[in-house]
Amino acid sequence: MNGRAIHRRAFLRGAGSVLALPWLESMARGAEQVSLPRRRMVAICNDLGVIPDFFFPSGVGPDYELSPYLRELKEFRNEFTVFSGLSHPECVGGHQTDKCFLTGARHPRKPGFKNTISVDQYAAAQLGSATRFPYLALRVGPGGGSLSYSGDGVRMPAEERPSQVYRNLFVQGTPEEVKRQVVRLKDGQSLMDSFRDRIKSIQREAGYRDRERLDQFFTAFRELEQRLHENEAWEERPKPKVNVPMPRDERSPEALVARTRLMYDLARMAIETDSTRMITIFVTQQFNPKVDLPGVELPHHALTHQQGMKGSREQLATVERAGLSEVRRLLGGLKKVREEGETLLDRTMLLYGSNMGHAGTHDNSNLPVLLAGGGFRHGQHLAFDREDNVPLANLYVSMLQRLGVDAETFSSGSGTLAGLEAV
Amino acid sequence: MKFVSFKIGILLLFSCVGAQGVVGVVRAKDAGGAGTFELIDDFLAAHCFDCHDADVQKGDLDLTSLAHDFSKPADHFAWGMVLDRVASGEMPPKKKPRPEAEELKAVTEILFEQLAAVERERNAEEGRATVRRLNRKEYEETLRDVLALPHLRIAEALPPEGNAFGYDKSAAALDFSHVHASRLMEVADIGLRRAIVPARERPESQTIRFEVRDPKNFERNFNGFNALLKQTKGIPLNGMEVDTSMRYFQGDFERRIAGHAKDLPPYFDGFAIFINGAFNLGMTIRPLKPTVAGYYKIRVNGFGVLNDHGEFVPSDRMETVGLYSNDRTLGFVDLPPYEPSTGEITVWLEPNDVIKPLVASAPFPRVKGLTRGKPGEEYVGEPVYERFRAHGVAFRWFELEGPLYESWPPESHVRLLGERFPGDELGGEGEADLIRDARSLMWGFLGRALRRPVTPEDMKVPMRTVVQKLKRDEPFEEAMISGYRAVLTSPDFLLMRMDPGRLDGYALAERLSYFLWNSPPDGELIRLAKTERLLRKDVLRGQVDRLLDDPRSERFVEHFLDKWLKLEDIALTEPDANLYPEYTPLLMDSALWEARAYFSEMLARDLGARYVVDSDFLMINQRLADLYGIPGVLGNEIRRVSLKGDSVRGGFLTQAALLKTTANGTVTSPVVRGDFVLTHLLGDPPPPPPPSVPAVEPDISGVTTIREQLVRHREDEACAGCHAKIDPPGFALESFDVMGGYRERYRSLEKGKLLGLVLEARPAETRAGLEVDGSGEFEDGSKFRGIREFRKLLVEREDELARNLLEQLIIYGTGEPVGFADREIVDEMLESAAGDGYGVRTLLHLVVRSPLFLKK
Repeated sequence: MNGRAIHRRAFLRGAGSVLALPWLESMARGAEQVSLPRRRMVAICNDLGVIPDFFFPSGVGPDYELSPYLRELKEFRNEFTVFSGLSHPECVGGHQTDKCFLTGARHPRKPGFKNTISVDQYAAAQLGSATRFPYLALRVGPGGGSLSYSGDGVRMPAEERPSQVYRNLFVQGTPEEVKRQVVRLKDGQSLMDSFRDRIKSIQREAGYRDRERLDQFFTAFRELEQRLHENEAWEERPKPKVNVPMPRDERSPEALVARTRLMYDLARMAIETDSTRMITIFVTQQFNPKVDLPGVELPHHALTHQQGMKGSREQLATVERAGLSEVRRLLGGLKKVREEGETLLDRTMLLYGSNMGHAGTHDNSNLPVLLAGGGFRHGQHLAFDREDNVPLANLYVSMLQRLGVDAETFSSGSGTLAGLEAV
Repeated sequence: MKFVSFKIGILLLFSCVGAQGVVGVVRAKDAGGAGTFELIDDFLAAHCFDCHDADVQKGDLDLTSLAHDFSKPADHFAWGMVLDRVASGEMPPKKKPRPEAEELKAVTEILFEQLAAVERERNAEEGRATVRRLNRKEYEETLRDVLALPHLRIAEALPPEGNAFGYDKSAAALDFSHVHASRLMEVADIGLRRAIVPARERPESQTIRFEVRDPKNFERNFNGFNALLKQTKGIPLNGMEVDTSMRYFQGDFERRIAGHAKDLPPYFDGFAIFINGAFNLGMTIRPLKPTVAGYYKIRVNGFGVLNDHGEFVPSDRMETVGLYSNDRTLGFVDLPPYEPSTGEITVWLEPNDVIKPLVASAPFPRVKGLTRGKPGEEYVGEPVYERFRAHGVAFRWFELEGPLYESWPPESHVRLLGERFPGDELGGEGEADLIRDARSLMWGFLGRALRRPVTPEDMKVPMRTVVQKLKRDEPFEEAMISGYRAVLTSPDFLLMRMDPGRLDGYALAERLSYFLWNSPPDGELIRLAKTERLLRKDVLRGQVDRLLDDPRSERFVEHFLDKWLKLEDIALTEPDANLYPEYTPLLMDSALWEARAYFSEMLARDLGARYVVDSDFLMINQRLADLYGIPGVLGNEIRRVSLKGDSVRGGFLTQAALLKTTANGTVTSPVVRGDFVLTHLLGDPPPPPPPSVPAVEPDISGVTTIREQLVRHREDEACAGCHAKIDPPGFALESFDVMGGYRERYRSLEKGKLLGLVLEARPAETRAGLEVDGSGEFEDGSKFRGIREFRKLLVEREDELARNLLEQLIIYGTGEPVGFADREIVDEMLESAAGDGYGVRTLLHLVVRSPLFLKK
């Protein structure tokens, strides 16, 4: 709970739990001025993974040798840590594990599977009200996928259109539109209460599964009420201005690189303007388009399955290298901007990885993961057992704590990740 | 209590299945007790644990860890899988000793009884289906109906839906979060504001015409034509002749010298273009701008041409002009060759819509090639249009007429505000008058929105905000919008509610209309629901027919096919332009129209399940006829065409839509298509690929065929089992390329003879590659030499096709897949439909009158 001088829970403990909510609100607002550094997180998952041999480095610790892919990031060598031997325990199921990348929920392929909260949503629940958007869930590629899941395991829809993201972040409505929006927010708040009552009364007559399903609605209306309340304050404040025009949405299925760049740029701008501090980006290529890069002739997903064949391996490496190169661009962008004597990168944890350890064989162990920036002692290869993996969620515990969230454990993570230290 | 109903379930089952053997009955007595599992455990130990125990866990399955309990969903599912695999004979695998017939029978019966009993109990208590909300498509259609805005488009502004059992018609697919709730509020607001008109005066209709003449006019009003003219990629005409009196002046992009054209007498009065894509051209006709939202007529005057290197030569086909706006297709008009004609469409336009014409039937997305002369000077070389041969359209003029209103104020406005308009003076009216009007409008609105009788209780929440605002002197329309929005986002509006047991009239009407229309029940259904007459078999049957014969059933056809045959994914990839230069967007549109028209035809004529894979007719237009090699089909309209002789075409199986959806842009894979046929047509999905086995992908270098690779793949025993089942249908479909064309050879960019195709007005590098082998052999040993024989074998499996189709309809209609407890009912339905060859309309009637549909 950095970004506020006093830890909300610590304060509660100290003062006894008789405090009413309005108090807390005023405490939070007043505290903004004497804040600790704002800490952010950007989590990216690429759902077709990377060729393991080209990603994982040889050697461990600070003296490791950069792998072919990591050479794309060599100028940031001291600003990221690469991991091996991490994965989510009992989280197998090929491509269906993408929804667990930030949640660590077990057995996504089992019938009746219910997801758990994702690390960004967990953090946003505590830190989200500091910014106009508590979080941004973004997606590069078609479909309905998202990395963000609520406490009920409900998927938080991700936005795919850069134009829409831009509009939300930076386009100020006309005074008339703002007025209407405020009215809608006010109306909405008073409605949510009656909607919840209505759900409760329907639930009284319902069977078990119906009741469980209706709980989602109850929660949604409750959370919306809270957000409407927060939004109302934001609505009166002007949105930040940027000197970049509204991007055009890239519709060609082949334009992976252009689409990725647009979204990464928007993520950087969102951080720069402190519009949000939690961003998830799901880069999905499962629909198998050909990527328009020189020398690439076969569709992306198909290439991952024949990475053993020489010609295919080269094509796939071209695509994946381009992916890493966009990460470099994002890191560079974050490093250029300074905030209170630090770079934005110093304050932004950038997690890049995949739910696939080996996409060609649908393997979900030994996931390729790296963490850049955010105020950790980087510049090393933290190697764990590639057969008997350490929970990836341990890394999430480290990240949560760095964000200032009071978390000892998260999902299958029972503590922070050994060897990763904050600066 | 629970135990009792459990036992009753078992007994009921036995009274139905009758002579299922003594073993089952004895076991059933101690249902769920130790005896049940003794027999199962013995069986598993003898036949399954070798591979599926805690150590080996083949296929990621450890049967020793399965709970001795059928009631938890995960265990229920796992046991169900065991039963299905064992009953079908798939397990134990062929190489292992077969269980004794009697032993097998006893175990499968017991498992079935147990699983069905658990479901039956649950169904009785809670119903089969779980309460769900409207999906975004249904929400859109509902808003359209309720607001009388048939063209409202808001679905895309809502989050994409999930998928459960292949559809978005189940609770499990339709999550709800605060994001959904908040977007619904925004979207409802958009819809409501669209519905009201800003002023009492009726906007006057006017006609705007754009004449295709004068380079200056192009420069000011139509960038696209201007660019094509000065780059000599389109042809100016005098009447029917090429206008050769045009002079072109060379531009230079780097030196910022704009090229231009100068028209000398005789002046041109038409302009022919040959492209179906806009690329960087601004294809907007600027003067044709709608002023307010409403219906407009767009007219296009011109004629088809065939440009053969600068000369017009006879053409024997229709050309199709596509009219597009920023983000959607407005419509198509056909123009005959060399006969100036006017085509017209009527569309709904919004104020910021633009109108862009393209030649949808033209072969290229753009014309490549440059004019090279001295910058600023007259270009005297060969015009680009003399370098290619292509069909195109000569345009003479465009017109926009509108807005056209059926009535004024429009119905949508009257429903929300009655005779009031924004900005009206109140005159002598007071607050009480406003509130009285508001109440009466709200009552009517709720009646349309709620799909059930309105109670005074329903008025409370929306009227609270309306009254509050009116008392604060806020404008009447703002107060009403706020109240209506409260209705359109309320749980009563969003949820489709049902109580366990038999549905009442309203719930049945709602389920039925969302099944066949994706929208709420209309007046007639509601009247029948009110009197409960809808519950009568003959009345219900009549209503199903009425709904199906209504144009709104097109929504069912479209949505059902989008999900069942995954046609919603058709545009996820695009055929590689180098390999498939003939592919055009119109082909993809036509392919979707074909599939939908075909299913509509099946419904209208009650065609049987075999029509999924076989037919003696096609539903096609000129573009598809071209692809399929069928002569004499002119124009864009889809029509029924009889198939002559032994065609490779017939059924969904060989329609372009299915073939395109199951391919990606470059290559086809028998594995993907085989899996598709098994899963979506035969209802027999193969198990997912085991972990740690690399998949096989086509090699487009032209060295090996996918078939050769698969043969090698199947030499691996671990792969052979499943691939013997998956590959054969895929092999048969190898005779069709990624856009649905029939092929005898693969295409290649590296090896083989040039095919002489044209890409963007230049020769394409497309070559004829290796030969296609469409033969194969099913697991049971039946062989086929190609698609025709393969189809015959599939037709023989009519009952499987029918069962699958029926099960798909059940999921779509009820939101739940066929469970163990439902199998008996499904079997009966199939039996009764078998005589008529399982007509699809018959199946649909059977679904609606089955307890699966009539009960929650």
